[in-house]
Amino acid sequence: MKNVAETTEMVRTLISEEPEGWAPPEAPLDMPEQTLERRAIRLDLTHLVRMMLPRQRI
Amino acid sequence: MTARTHISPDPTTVRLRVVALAFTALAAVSATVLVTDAALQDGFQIWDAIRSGLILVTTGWLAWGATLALTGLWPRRAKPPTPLTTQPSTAVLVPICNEDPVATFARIAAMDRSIVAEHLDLDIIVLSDTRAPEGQAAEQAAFRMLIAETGGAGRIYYRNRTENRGRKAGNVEDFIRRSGGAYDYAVTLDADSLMSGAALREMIARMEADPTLGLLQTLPRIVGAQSFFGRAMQFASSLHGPVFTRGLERLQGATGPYWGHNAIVRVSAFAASCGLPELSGKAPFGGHILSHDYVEAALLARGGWRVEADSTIDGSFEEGPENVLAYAKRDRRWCQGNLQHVRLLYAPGLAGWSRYVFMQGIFAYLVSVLWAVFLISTVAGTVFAPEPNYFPNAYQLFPVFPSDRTREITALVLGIVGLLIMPKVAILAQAALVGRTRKFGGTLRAAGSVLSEIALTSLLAPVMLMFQTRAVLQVLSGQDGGWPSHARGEGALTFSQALRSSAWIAVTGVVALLATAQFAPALMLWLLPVTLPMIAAPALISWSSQPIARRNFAVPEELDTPAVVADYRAIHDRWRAGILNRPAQPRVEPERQHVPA
Repeated sequence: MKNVAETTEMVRTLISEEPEGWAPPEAPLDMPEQTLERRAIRLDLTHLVRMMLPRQRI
Repeated sequence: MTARTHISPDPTTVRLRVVALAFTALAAVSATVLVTDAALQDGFQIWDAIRSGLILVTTGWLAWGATLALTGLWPRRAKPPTPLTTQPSTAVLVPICNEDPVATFARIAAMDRSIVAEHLDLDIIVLSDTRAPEGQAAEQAAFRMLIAETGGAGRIYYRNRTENRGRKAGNVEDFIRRSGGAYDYAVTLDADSLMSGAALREMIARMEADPTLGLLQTLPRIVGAQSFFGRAMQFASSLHGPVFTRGLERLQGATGPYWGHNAIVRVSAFAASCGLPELSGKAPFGGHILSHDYVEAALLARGGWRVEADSTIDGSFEEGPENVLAYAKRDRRWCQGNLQHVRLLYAPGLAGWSRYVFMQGIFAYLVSVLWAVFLISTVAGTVFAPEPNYFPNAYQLFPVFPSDRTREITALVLGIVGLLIMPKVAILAQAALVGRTRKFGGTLRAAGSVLSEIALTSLLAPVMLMFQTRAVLQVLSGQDGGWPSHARGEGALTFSQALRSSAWIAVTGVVALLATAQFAPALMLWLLPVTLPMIAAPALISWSSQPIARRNFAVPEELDTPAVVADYRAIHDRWRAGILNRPAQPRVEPERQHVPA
């Protein structure tokens, strides 16, 4: 079994002191947000009536 | 992207789906006819209409489960290992949040050893969402031990997010946005996952061999169970799991499942298809998508990628809950996540099967409520039944007695029990025929384990029904259960611990029993298998959480322990011993912490 102090010393030589330095290298990749919800359908009744009865004063 | 580009199912898959759905419909309609016919004998009431509707749906659900098993009974031709001639860049992702760092990092050390033995060049990346400073410090200490153990600097990484948006899915998404460009594939794991190097090699090779494959899901086997409950679940997952999964594989075609871990994804496909939005509105139905894995599988399929499961890939492991309360706690999270999918049933461009999978997930929880309503309506129907009319005609000489339908109802009950038990017995018989039971200690031992598992799950079924019903009602009433950290490695429960969490079930059982005795004594005997386990819930929960000997519910992974599992245990024990020899440090209580939104 490795001694704890010995282990800590050995790790210091392998990785940086600060945990921020332990992160993987950056290689950005775009991840577009997906559409999962349908847009609410607005039922415009007056518009429909105007379409059905053209040239009428409504 | 919302265009409909998903791969259409092949003719064999379509034929299988038709047969499976036809069998399900036949079983459901037969049960409904029996119940309706019996109800008609004393006049048809509103309760009878409710019962007929409920039995249609609930029996259909049971029959669907049986169909999955029957479809999977037919063994698959064994595939030779896929050769891997390239070294694609692959990351093994371990998202964690408030986990036991010693156990988690010991698993990583064991996996790394197995990966090196397979001469694979993989990066392992721990993605931590732990916020508590003590928790972070414990993880950093464990990471140092991991690097010392493996010499893994430069291939094993650790990063802690400053902002925990989107929980686990957001954690992985954050990694892909920052570093995904460096990798062809990503293996997603849970903190309790273990995968052998050979399994990882096979998964990478399969992805390389099929450029249309977006995600490959393995079937993780449960390991390390100690308690009666845990070992029964472990045995069931080992004996029955592969058959049910094979049935699923055959029915799903290219629109397979993703269970969130022990799977490999093509990073470019995942990045292009799986950026999850927040749903409009508040939790539990709005906000972050909780059961993200189902949605990611559906989105990959929508993007035209194949999503497959393969239960034949060995060397994929996880741990399971050790007692009913831990199981119910996990179920509460899954319940909320699955019910949230009701918002996605009409998401644009999804494959029909993906929508069906959402429905199945929702139904897995709703069915408990439906069974509860069925039982209540059965009692109510008896209480409010009108007196039989022996002389329906004015000038009738002889009385007309209602026809006795006890035999038909008994047949119905046996049929329902059969749908529950028959698949397990069929799997045992098939396993005995092909010699698979040898890995479970022989056919006799396997049969004993199957019978014990059936007895345990039957006893616990009413208790689970109550927990699930409560979970569904909580979600439907708008209660957000959050996404609390896992309670891994939790052990035996005392009677008082079990009583605190299940007294309400016992009280409900007593009330139900007394009400039945008072108002519908004819049904008392029929309802005893439901009411008695409810009354005994605290005792059952405590008793089933106690450790049992390893000779009970033997599984192949114990009779011949895989190297990666043995290595994990050895490393874990050694690290624990090393920590115990250190001066005392403040203890982190993972159970008390909560995953931030």
